[in-house]
Amino acid sequence: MANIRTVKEINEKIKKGDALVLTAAEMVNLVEEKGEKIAAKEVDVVTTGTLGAMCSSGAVINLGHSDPPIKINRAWINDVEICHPGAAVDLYIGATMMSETHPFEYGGGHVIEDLIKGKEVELRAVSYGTDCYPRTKLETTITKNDLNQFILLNFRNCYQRYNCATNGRNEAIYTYMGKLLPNYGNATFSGSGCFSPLMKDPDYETIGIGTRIFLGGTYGYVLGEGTQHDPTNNFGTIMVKGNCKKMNIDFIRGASFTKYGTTLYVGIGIPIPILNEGLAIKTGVSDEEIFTNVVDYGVPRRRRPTIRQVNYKELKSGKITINDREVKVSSLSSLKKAKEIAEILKKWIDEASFFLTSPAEKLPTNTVCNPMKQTRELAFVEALIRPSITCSEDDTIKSVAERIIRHSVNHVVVVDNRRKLRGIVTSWDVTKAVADGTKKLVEIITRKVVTTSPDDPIEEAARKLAQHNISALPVTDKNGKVLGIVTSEDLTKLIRR
Amino acid sequence: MTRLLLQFSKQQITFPITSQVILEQGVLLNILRAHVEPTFGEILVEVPQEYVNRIVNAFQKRGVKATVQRRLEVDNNRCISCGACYSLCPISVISFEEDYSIVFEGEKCIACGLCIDACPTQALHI
Repeated sequence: MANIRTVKEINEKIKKGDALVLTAAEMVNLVEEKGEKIAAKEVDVVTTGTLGAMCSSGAVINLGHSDPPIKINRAWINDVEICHPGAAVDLYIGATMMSETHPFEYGGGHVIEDLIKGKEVELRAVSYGTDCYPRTKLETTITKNDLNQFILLNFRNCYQRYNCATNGRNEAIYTYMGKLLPNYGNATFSGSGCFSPLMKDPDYETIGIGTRIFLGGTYGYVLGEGTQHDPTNNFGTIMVKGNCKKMNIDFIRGASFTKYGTTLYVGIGIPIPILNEGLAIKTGVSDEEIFTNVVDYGVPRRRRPTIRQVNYKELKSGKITINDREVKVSSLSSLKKAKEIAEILKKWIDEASFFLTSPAEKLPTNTVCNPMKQTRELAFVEALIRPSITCSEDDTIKSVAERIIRHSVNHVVVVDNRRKLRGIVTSWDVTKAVADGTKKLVEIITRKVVTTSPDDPIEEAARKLAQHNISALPVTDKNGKVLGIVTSEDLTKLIRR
Repeated sequence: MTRLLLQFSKQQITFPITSQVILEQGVLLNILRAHVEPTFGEILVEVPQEYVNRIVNAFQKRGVKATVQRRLEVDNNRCISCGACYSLCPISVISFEEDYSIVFEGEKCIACGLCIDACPTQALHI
């Protein structure tokens, strides 16, 4: 599309105070009211924003040298282990590393927040000692002012959009998408929809290496594509850096997800220069036109089943329909802060304290995110299920014994008339009943049955067999319906293969 | 209405103490939540403000611990208005405004605790 203005021209206008800057929400309204032609003519820059949990985040710090010097081998800040990726006193505080004394409550994200706040933190380090770095132990306290560098360096941030998560299991689960109630009882989503930075320039015409952005309350820069950048599926990501010493904890915050771990909430805003009419259309896209999938996180596999499509307008309403039932849906990222970031960025540009940059190299638009190469693909229970021999609670011990002989099995699964699991009877139970003179089947049924699901890895099933000293596991779906059985014999055959 | 948390010991669980208090005092108690464990029991009731002292005394006379219930408290310095808590609240104490500020109507809270461990910034307490 033919360009109608350049970044250089926009910066001239910003300097003179003549640039028209709108937030993404304002641009959506303008395009809707006056159309993209007028919007493109009038608007110079559209500001975006998002503030959400971004796990692939962290900060590089340089401590300066101690006397005698130390080549740090392992280090901890406030009991959170800090990676040591480089030379003697360069450390990387990973957001998801957890405190060894308060795991799941305090982690790398909180260390970064505490340092930004100006708090004093405790540093411990150990080393093996070398001729040039003889020191082997170090204990000190530091604040951000004691650090030579304190740089946020995040290798995957700012997902263009994200899945909406729900849970089809009959138990609550705790995930990186938060707490998900049983039987699709609620849903959670992330991403700011019409404010989403990468969604407003989905072909990355203006974003790439060197793009100046809002990051954690100050300026930052895009370093290029983020890990798992997946532009063809609208799941683009960016790698960013910024000076933590100037950041503000209103826009960067340590966080923890129960039974998942710790992370960092990062606030990012990207200014999109309206270089052509196409960018006016793209920045004018509304919540209603941005779609994502509702995905069942109850299935613990790489490919989780999609239940339906949903747009961000529905998500932001707080309620969506899943399987004909209306459930509440929570945003995990802060929509309020997303808007605030877009407004602050607009203000900076209006005040001529923030200028736009042209990327040295644009983000790639054609890469894909491949799955992991595994030297040995895990087998799952689904590959081993065999039909189970079943009976009901009303059957007699004799008829169960007959089934055991006829089908030459050792396990008969007790089900109700809807095939829901009621218990299990083994050939040993029947033998013992005969020896003891027990007459009724209900007296020999084992009620507490260890089960597995089709999506359990074989290793998990084998672990259950060994742990409970049993030789078969009924396979049930999430509603407790019996799908079949796996036996230790089948498992042994598979492993020998 | 005031919320009272009634805590029963193992020995008291088997007696109809709540019914006795209702009959004796002639005050209607609205049971919001009841929870019985092998070693103790807890009931959360709503009591009209003017009868709180009478009801507390009536339970305490029978050895039941009755305390005015604290509700959801929000640390606004920690809250980032994400709304992770919103979809978990069974009685709509938590809602959001047009600008996506999260609003907590504490007086409706039944202190179930479902939202507490969902808060990523540990801003919620009961």
